[in-house]
Amino acid sequence: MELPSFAVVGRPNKGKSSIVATLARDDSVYIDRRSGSTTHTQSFPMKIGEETLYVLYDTPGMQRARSLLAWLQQNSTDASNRPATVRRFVQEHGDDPHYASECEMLRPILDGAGIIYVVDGSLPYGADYEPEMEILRWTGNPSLALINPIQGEAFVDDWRNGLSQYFRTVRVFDAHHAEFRKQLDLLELFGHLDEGWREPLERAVTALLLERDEQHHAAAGMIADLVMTGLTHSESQAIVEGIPQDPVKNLLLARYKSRLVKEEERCRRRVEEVFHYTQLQRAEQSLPLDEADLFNVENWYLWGLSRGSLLAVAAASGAVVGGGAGMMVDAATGGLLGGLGTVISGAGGALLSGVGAWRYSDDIAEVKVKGIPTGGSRLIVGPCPNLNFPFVVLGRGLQHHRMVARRTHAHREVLELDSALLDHVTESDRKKLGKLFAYIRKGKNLTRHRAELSGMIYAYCKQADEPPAY
Amino acid sequence: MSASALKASDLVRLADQIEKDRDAGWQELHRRDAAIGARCTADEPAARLLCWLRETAAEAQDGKPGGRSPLSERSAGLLLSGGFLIAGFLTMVGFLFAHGQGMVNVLWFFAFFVLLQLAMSLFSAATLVSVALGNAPSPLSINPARLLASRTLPDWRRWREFQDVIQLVFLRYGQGMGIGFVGGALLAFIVVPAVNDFSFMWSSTFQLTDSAMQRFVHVVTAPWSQWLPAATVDAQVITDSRYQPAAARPGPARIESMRSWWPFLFMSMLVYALLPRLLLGWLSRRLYRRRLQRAFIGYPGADLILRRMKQPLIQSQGAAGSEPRPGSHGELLEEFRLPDDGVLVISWAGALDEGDLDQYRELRGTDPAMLTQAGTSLEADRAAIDRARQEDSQLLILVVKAWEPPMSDLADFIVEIARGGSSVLFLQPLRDTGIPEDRLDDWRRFADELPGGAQVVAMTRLPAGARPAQGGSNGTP
Repeated sequence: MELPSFAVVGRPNKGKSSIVATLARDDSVYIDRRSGSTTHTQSFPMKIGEETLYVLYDTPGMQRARSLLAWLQQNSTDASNRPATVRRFVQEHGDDPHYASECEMLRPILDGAGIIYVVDGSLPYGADYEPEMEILRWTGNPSLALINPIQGEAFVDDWRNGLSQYFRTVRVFDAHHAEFRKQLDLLELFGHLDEGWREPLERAVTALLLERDEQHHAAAGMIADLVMTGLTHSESQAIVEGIPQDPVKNLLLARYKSRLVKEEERCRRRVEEVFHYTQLQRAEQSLPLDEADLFNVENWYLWGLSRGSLLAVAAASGAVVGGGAGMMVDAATGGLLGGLGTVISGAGGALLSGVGAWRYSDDIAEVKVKGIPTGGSRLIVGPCPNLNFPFVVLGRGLQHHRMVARRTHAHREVLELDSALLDHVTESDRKKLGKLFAYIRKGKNLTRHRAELSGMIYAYCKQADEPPAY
Repeated sequence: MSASALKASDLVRLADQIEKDRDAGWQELHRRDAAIGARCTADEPAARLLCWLRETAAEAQDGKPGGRSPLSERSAGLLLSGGFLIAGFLTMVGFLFAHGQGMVNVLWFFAFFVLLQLAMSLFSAATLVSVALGNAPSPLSINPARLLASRTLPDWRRWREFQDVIQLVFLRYGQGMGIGFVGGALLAFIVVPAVNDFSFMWSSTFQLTDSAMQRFVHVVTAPWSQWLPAATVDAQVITDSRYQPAAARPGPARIESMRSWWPFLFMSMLVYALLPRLLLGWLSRRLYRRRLQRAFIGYPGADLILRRMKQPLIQSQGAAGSEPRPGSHGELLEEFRLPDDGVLVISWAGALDEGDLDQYRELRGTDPAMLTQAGTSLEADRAAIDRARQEDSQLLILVVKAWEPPMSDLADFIVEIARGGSSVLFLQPLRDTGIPEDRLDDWRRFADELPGGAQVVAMTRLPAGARPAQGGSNGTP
């Protein structure tokens, strides 16, 4: 069976490369707002393992459509030999620099590629486009037209009317903002151009859906690991007796902060890689671990939870941990206390945790000094006792993931990450997360709690593909 | 490869390999892992992960000389169990010989070799339950099983990740040592009385009556009294074997009857010291295997490996991005005054018609007869070129749609019509929005690349009130 292939063609600067970048999920495709940035045809094979399912071609824009059409009209006797005439044109002008762009564009089409003709729906339709559409019609290949509303949809209707004279299928596709589902819909539409292309394109869509799920899974695991690191990481250093502790403490604190910031950076890079971004630039504040950020409590509340939510979460998680101890008392007394132990210790835990949330709301990392049997002491900095901190890390991770997942590869703008977070997490989920964080902090059943945390984050990540929420 | 081949040290190797992979590219890792996944025939996640580990980490391990102690985890376990067997044997021998006149105090024996062992088993059971529930208390630093843990998991930095596995290593081998100790003691309890005369008596500083002792024996022997009555002690023997310091040394017949404590003590050790250890050993071994597998596949990053192994790599990217083009340096005129004659205004691709001239500051007042159309067809181009020749136009003004990209088609036309002469590109804005900088840049570059060069003028659309009359328009919306 012939391999489905699609040549994305059109006038320069109409967003051909943007469409290819989005569909090929390739942010290395050079996209320039200046015209004619594509000078050679570039292929983008879609492969599953070693099997190629289809190929996209990004072609240079047509420059001399009128003279090319004139040549074709002069050299064609009737409609039946039009495709052969186009082929003859490429054979005769293959080395002619005058028609380099046209020959580059026509070659994949002559090899059987379907035609994806791209126009800009934000600019007016003009009769001067018609020669290039006519040339494409002459090739006889299956084709469809995409209206790419680069800066708005002001002229989409005009284009639809004009294009439908030359193409049976006309669709609007915003390469910069198309949701993942719309990208798949477009691929499915490509499959309808030729009966033989339908099956591989459907397989490609299925594979991409599976891959998308894997991407969310992977990202969720990475964010969960980052939160775990935030909850458990500490730096320590043995110091001999008599050595002043303050310089070592400052050094450890710096090392602690640097490690967490690096881990977050690494997590973000990985998430971007998973979504096939290799050249993404970000505009963001780093983890608020500096003194200035630390005392700017409002900043923490922006990234994580508000003080009110935090207290509710703290009380819920404290009650669970405290209640656990009470349950053991109740069990030991054979239930003679009628569950009083659980109630009292639960309430005590909630109260203590609430006070802790307030007390530690401004602390970065706990500093502990432990004696060493061989003499001297060990200074330990971390983990961060601030109850909001894991929410801050989680919120930033989810926000980053959402923006990356919803972005298309045609985007070249800097990723803006400074906005309110965790709005999409319900109050009950916040409490559940608070409890998980409390367990992880205590080192209880880490494997199971990591899996639970990862599962919750995965659910949030999946919501990135659902248009209304999160 | 089966998951049963999994060893605790594989956890460390997995952690090491994941650490090594942290800086590698995702695509590269996916490619490698998908290939390993295709070769691996195992179905279970732990077995697949082990398969992956063997392929990725084995080479690095093999490349390193020595490093590992010749004493394996299994050998260390056997060594410790053997040591405790000898210790148990010697303890029993010492205990038996420590009593003068070959008279062994049953209560002391029971306290040390049965109750203490049972208490330790109960402590282990509590720890096991705690670990099973997800709590992993730190093992005592004096625990000799640390020798095994250091063989199993040499890297203690990951204590937090592997804590329940380490705890189970302690528990598992702890039971082995306990079994060794009790086994050694039992062995000594068989061997020593066979070669030496021993008898048993009981005494207590508490006011323990014969009947209380009888009840105690009755409770202790409950598990076997029905099917092994020989291992119980009857009331007469209890009374006869009570130690009375003032009494004369008992006769041979009484000593012989006092020896009937032996089966009771032996069974007590067997049931209350050895059996719980065996049960705990079996349980901790089972739990250890399950937790080991869980910790292995639950290690941060392991899930991603398994997914990469399962999911073939999907690639849709091109080989390389195209190169950016150099910036422009064409000339942009701020002001342009149209001469009164010798000018031909060419509207390219229907940019404007006669009625549109007064809508632009730069063309206001221009004689409509100076305007001609081109770019709509090759015939129109030819006609415009002929007119420029006939009128010997000194200046060519090309009005182009600034929102469209400059095309070679236009360049060809300008080259032919201007013949190296002067031409100016008038950029017509779309609506009243002005011309975007990047588009302006395009046109400046285009003008600069023309053989004779060209000047560029950004046209200014006049406000509706400033226009003398509204003409038809075929190009400007």
